Amino acid sequence: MNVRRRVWSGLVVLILALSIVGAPGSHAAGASRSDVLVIAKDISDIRTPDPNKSYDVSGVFLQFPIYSRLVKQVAPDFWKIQPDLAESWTVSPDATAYTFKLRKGAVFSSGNPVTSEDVRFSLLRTHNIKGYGSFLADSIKAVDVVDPQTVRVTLKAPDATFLAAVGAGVFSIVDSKTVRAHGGVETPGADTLDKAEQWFYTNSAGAGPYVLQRYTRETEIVLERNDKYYGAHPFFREVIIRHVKDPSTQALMLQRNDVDLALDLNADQADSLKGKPGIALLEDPSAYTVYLGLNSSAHPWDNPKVREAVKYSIDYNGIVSGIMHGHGQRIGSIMMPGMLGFPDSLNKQLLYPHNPAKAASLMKEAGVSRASVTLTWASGTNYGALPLDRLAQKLRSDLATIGIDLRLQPVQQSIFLTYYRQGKPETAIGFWFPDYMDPDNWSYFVSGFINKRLHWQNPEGAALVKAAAQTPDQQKRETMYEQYNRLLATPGSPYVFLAQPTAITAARDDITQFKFHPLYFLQIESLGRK
Amino acid sequence: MGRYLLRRALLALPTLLGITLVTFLVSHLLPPDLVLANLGDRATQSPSLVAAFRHRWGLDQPVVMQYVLYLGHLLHGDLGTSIATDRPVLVELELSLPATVELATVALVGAAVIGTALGILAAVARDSAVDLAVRAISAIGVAVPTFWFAILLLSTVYFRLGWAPPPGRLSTGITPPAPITGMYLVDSLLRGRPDLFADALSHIILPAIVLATVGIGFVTRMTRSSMLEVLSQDYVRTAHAKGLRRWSVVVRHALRNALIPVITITGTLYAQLMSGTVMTETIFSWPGLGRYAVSSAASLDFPAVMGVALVVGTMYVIINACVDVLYALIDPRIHYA
Repeated sequence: MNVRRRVWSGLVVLILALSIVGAPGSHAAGASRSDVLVIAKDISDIRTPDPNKSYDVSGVFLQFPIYSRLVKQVAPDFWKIQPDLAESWTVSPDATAYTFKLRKGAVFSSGNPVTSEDVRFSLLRTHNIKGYGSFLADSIKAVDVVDPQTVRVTLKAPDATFLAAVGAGVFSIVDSKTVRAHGGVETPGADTLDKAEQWFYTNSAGAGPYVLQRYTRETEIVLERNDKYYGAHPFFREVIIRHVKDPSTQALMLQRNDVDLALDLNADQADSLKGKPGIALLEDPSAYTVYLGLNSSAHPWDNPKVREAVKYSIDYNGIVSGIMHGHGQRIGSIMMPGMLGFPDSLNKQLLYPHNPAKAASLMKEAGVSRASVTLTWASGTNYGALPLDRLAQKLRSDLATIGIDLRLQPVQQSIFLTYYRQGKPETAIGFWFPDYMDPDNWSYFVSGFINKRLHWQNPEGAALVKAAAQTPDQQKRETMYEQYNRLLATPGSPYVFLAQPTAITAARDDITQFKFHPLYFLQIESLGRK
Repeated sequence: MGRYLLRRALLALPTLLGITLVTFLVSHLLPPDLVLANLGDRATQSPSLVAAFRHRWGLDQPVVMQYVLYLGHLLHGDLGTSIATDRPVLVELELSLPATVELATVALVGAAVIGTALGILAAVARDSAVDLAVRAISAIGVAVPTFWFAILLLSTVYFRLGWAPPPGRLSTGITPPAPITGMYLVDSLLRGRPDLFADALSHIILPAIVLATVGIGFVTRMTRSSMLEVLSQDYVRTAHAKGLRRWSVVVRHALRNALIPVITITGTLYAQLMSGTVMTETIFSWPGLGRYAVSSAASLDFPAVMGVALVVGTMYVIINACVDVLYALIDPRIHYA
């Protein structure tokens, strides 16, 4: 009996000892990680680490430090297209043929040189693999290797936006020799023939500043510096992205110095971290723009006067200061302010004032004194610093002041997507997040795509954005998109533009050179430590 | 016993078939449209991508045909391919299932050992201060909201005191052991890596405490009431009258007879823990079955959802069978023919 008791108490002591020993180990790692960067982020939406398939938000975040693309866009002038793997390019006058001249001396992490064959392979693999982002490559007719340093892309139709599109994550340039060796296929039928996906979980084939060590779903991404990178060498030798779903857990880990950056904080956590020693809060405009969509086939939204009245009845500043705690700004149209054709000055010009008296008189003019209509949204979701559930409550109370009873209909996100894409909701809280940074990517609000869901047509607007997409001249395009934004902001349009939330990042204060990017959150390669 | 288990296994087949049928119907007849929910905003505008998607996932076939095809694959041990990741569901489950089994087992062992001990204590010292304290503990254990308790533990034990490592299965930068079972506690020992074992153990303790707390409440209550009933029986009085030592009567004579309902509830508890615990997994960044089920359901990844349902169903069947076998081992009066 005595012996048995001793064994048991021994075991208990051992377990306690191990649990305590285990803890300081991780803290020691925290103290000595000068050239190791640890990031806390929710990476649960990553569907695949394959660069030519990846399309979700965190997937793009995973691709950017590993792969290079032909061109890039960096803060703060995101509409400006800069050379990356392509050192120069020419565009045919009708915007159907793009010829890229590749930079010399660029090599993949395998040591293979970057050639025009790799560009051809990558673009066609994206096209033929039929992944979630392949629609971006739909316009490609052919990719021809002119010489090892020159590649020509021919499009099915004129498209002036293509240059910005090749900066998107799905157009990451992969090492064709390596990917082929692991089952990669770029020919038609690649959607069933390509067997390389599994390989991308523990390897990468890029020419970017980092190489992938491993990616484990809902666990971590581990990146190692690529010493063969052609650009400036990054400061951090290793980057570990830990999956942390819960934003408040992210905040705790940052305060304990177990991570260097927390990327998914909401307004409440950001406020609680303000002024905490050792922590810096960084705020940048996100690419989310949020609007209220009025289905113009539903009563009372079928009356343009009522649509106008709604635009004057909403307490916009209350949304920005009350619900978002000031982490964002009002918007007057769908584009991210600062884009080509939507300067800050124009954004300010297009804002509707909160004017209940005017709203009431418009309702009188419309001859509508009372109406009841449903509001549908993806419940439990946040767009950046904007929690939708609270926004819905606020809209309900604001619209009640002009006699409109918004009946709240929160639904699960995939149900919302289905309903909205089928054009069913009478009123919906919608948002836009671009695939790449060209004004054309925000043009779907007249083109017959988003506006169709709200049963609203604007042939003049549709013709305008179609022409703008085919106009290579930047200045002409700028004027055309200005005109487009003014059109969206007209009183009768079915969109009530609400806010652009900011992206809030919290960092340890020894982290330097933080540069935000609206599509992939931050430029990891530029970061350093004091 | 062998024939009994075989019969149990055969009886389990219709149950599992039923699970596949129900989850299949639910995932195919729900209002959300698989194409609209899975393809991006602009991809749904491309007829060729939509057609490829429908063909890829068999949506261009009648529902009955789709179900028959699914069953056909299942007979070959193929759980299908996840729509979200385009990988076999079985491969996806190789990550989340061991994570859940590991956590559930540690939590269950803790709950069973502590809960039984507390229950015995309370029953033996009925209506004393000890009994009151134990009853209070079990009431709190059952009533406390899991997410709140998880956050509380994390913010005190990890954040304020620094006694536990941050959430996750291993410390930052530590490479997991090469998989054998997928359970880090087991694999680290099999690979001869006590350092990895210690790290994994230190990470599992907090979430296991959260899950065990609920279990302790149930097990304690059940043990106490069952023990009270047994302790009032004649043969216990006889044993005492024979002059046996008090604890010998309690453990050897009473406990064994009181264990049957305790085993029943422990089995149920284990099965519940196996189906994953979303809140605890979310707060402790534990990539378990619960999180996998929720994120798969949210993205309408029906092969993944059906895979999870089948695995959880199988777990229930196995655990129930184990419970029945344990009955026979503990009580020689129980025979299965």
